[in-house]
Amino acid sequence: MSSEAPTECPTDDTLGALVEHALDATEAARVSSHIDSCELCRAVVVAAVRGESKTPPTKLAAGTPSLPAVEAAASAKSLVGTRMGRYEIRSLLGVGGMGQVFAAYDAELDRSIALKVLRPELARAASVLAERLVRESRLMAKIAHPSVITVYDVGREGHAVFIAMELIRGETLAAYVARTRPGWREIATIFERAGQGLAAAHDAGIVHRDFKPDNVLVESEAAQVTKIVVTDFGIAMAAVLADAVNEMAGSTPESRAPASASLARLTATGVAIGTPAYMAPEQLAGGAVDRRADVFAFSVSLWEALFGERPFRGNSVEDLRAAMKRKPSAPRGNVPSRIVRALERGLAIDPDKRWPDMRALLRELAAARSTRRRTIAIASAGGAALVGLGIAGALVLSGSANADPCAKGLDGLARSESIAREIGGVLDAAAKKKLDDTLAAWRDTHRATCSADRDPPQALTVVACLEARKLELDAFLDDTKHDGAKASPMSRIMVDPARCKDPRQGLLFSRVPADPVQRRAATELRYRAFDIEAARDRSEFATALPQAKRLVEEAGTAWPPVQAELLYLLGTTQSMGGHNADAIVTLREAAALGERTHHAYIAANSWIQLIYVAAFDDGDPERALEYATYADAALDGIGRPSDLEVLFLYFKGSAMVEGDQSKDAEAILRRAVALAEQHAPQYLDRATLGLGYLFEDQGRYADAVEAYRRAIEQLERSGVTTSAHTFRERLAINLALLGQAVEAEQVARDAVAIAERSVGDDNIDRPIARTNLAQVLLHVGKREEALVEVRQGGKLLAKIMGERNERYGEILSLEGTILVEMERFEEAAKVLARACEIIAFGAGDGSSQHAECQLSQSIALDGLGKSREALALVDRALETLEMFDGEVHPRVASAYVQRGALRDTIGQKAAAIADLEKAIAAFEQLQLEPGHLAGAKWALGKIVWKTDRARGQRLIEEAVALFAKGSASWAPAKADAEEWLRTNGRPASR
Amino acid sequence: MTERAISEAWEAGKAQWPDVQLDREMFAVHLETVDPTAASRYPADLYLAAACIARDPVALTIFDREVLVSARGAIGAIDGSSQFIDEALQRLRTSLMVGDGGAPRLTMYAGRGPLRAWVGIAAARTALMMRRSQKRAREVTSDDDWTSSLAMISTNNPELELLKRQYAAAFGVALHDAVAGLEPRLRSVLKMSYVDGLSIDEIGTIYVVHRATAARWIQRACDEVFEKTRALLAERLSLSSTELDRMNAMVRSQLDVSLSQLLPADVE
Repeated sequence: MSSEAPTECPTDDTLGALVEHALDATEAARVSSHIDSCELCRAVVVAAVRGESKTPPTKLAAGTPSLPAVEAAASAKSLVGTRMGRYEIRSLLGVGGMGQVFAAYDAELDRSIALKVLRPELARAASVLAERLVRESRLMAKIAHPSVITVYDVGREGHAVFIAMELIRGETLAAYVARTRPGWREIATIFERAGQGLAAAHDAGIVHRDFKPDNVLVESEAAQVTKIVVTDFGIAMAAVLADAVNEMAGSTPESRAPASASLARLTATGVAIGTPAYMAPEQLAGGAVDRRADVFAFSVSLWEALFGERPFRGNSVEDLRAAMKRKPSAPRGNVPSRIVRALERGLAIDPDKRWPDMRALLRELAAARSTRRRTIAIASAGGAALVGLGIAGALVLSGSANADPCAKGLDGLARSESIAREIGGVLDAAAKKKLDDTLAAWRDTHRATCSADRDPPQALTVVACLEARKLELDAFLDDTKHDGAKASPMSRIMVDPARCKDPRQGLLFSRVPADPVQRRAATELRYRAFDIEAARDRSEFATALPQAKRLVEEAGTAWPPVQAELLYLLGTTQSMGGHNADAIVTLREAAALGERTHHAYIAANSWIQLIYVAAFDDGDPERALEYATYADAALDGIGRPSDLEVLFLYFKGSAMVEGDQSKDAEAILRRAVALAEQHAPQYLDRATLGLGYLFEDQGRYADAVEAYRRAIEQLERSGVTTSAHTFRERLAINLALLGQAVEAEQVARDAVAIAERSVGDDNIDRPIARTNLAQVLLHVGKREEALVEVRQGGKLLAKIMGERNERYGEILSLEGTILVEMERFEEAAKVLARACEIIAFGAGDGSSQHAECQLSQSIALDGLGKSREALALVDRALETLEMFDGEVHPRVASAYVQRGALRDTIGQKAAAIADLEKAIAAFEQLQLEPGHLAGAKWALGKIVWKTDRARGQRLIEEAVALFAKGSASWAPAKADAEEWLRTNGRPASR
Repeated sequence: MTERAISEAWEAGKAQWPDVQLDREMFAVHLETVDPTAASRYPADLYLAAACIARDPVALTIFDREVLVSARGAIGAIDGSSQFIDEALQRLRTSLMVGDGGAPRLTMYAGRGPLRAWVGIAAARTALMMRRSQKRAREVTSDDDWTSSLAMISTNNPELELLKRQYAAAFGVALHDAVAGLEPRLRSVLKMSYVDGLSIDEIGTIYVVHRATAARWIQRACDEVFEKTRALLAERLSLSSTELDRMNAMVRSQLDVSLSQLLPADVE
């Protein structure tokens, strides 16, 4: 086809002959070439040919604006009720630039599908596009992943091209987020699932190039997300949703979520074009694009969902490019810094600096998101540090400025003492003693302070402090009188009145404005605060929270130190009530104001609280440790009172454990325990638990046992009975792990009894105690009983908390494990599948809890003979657990044993041996119950037997010896090993 | 022209159109004038044409009823309004039978292809000329302008779409240049596909190639155009900074990407 100079126009005759294929090849070629360069002839021929064709084209007069979406919809409606291929078109779902999407019915497979139909005119005129569409659909069909839209079929009907796809009844992710405003954790979970779809596409060699929240579809049912699907891989507007239909019905872009309105994405016909803000810089520059461009787009989308604004903002490509020159800054909020950093890397301008692929980013997000909570963790732990706030204290100074603080004398004390006598019968011996001691200390201190040679200014603060203490005392007395022994344990905390003697500490408890008018106002506020505090301690958040808020509002112009106190009250109330985001904001304000007004006590308490909230409720141990440094400084300022010091150490140590700094954490937690034993028994339980968890995490069960035993003793001695059941539960579990079966069971049963006695019906401590008992029974080999207990525990918990929460999943997981031990694999597999699903949704797909569940599930599958499936599960679980625990950890080692056995079953001998050797090495390092090491050796022995008899024999003999030292639950394995030696072994090689 | 050839043609015509009356001598003269080498494979059609020129009523009826039909289609392809079609048909008929100040146009038919096809071509020509003379606004008058319609096509390429939206003017220019740089065949085929709305089969018919070949041509044309456009844009946008400044101030255009807007644009 050379470009010649235009020749003379052929006659009509010739042209006519051409279109009838009546010319010979040479002449036809000549005429064809002429047509290429002659507009008129071309037009003539075109018209003639079209005139001959059977399907008349739809003509629009020149200058007609494009069909508005509604008209397009109208013309599309005519397709409704017709067939396309084997599909019956039922209704129109939406219209896009490339075609319409219908809901259709596939009679052959009896299912509803989404049918995307390329508009007939389009197909005719641009069959190349049709070819492209078919090609892309073929690529899509190769990916089978739950998060990628499934393409079922591609076909042609006359001039039309259609694609049959999965039907999604839901909304875009953008719409879902705007509607439900979920927390950061849920957003991250959902995006991770979508990200997995992207990763699957990358595996198949497809880069999306247009990833954004509008291209992710979400199906949800009763506030539970059931399906998340990435669509529209290079195809404009695949399955469409209520979203698009609504827009065409007239709502404006502005009425949607603000972030999406800023760049209007829809044209008149409702077509969404790639939005520049999601595009990677190399994409914007028109250069080569690979999977890392999707990583960028994903990061932008997740950032936008978390923070409500995009990382780079601009209305044009130029603005965007300029914005990209600076690093994006995350607005202040709850999102853990680890996630922010992960996204920052995903947003790197240089693709080489970005995450190399989606999986790397997703792993990081999963790790950042999962918190390391114990299986069958401790119950309700509203853990505000509530040393007697002394807020309401000090203000009992009424009357004129020059009033003698000692004038009041011991008047009020008489009343308190009489009530104390009344309730004496309700308290146990230790508590009663404490009460009497406190009253005595109060009396003594007061007398000493108000003696004849007192120093007036000092007397003022000391007495004020004493008054505050008295208020606390009275509150406790009233509470106990009212509720009996089941009164909130918090109110049993009583600060030693003798502490008021220390001027520095006294000052802390009693800041008083000089001006009498201000003083009165401050007093009023503090008295009201005290009532709210009491309500909060009784967990009556429905009243306490709004009251606290109102009080803070009213105190806007009050004396600043009091404001700080009220903020602290509000913050702790929010924290205990579960409003973590608000709590953090409020407590930070309280801390700041406390620092500014030199109310160091409030500042210290606020910082300490923040450590707790950040580490445990928000899952951000790094920030928690930041707060710990401020708390440390503030504590210095108030002379490091022991009770606060204990709390500080406990929170900090636990935060360090959460943040994987276990080595340093141990020293801190030990100090916390020691200090608590001496000076702050009311926090001994917490401190001990912190230390105990640390030991358990590290598999140091003997140390854990020692710590818990000691704590139980200490607590009995000091009369604090909270957590009595909790400690016994943990002690029992650890005893069982060490193989001390009889004692373990006894202690576990004690725990259940205590829990039933001391907490209410709606307290999850009860089912948790039962479940822990089940775990112990399992360890000691009493499976039937364990099954009964765990089912009972599960039922109780479900009654209180419903079935969709993570704890219930963990209980089910335990049930599954028990069933596996009983070799009831069919039931076990069912139960475990359900358990893992619940846990994955609650704690996250990449959490250690989910991994543990997967391990149990794989055992069940293996029991059913589905070894390959089982192996796949163990692989995933191990990946997760190694990330959390490292290689030398009991549960990782056990997982290696499990995987080794599976690999052997499938025939991957060498790999199996490697796993088992790793397990053995780990168990030898850890001080565990010997049965574990025995099991690993037994498994390895069996495998190497075939190739190295001597070694195999030796291993199995060692295993038998170790089994003998282990707990009862290993007995069957021991018997198997002995049997093996008898039938296969050489005579003892001694 | 041999006697024998004439006889064969005569027989063929009579066989096909038994009721048509035609003088043999007249036919012979006509035949010798239009097809001296007797190359035509459609002698019966020549016969009918000659009869029409001689005003045989039966022939004229047959012509109106069966042959002019294809004319309707071709005219309708240019403008579907019945008014236009009727008028164009009228003009065509006049031109064919009476002539536009010369001999009847029907005498131009030389039998290289079937009569029907020839009439279709003639009809298209007539209709086009009518169009031209009607001087409608916003006609695509020259080769250059149709590329702006091409700009409206969705390229299915998000990056390019983006550039298109942001820099519509520059995009149009680059697109125009890219199209101008195409080989004539590709450019022609592209136009037929996107502007004229021809199917692959129809394009295959015109160029006497298999539909697959036509499809490949179109694909290639598209790819080349968009590649060139992108390259040109990338080059130009980074060169001319004043151009960029102006573009920044430009309001985001909302280019429509619907192909149906292209279809069937008026073509001169």
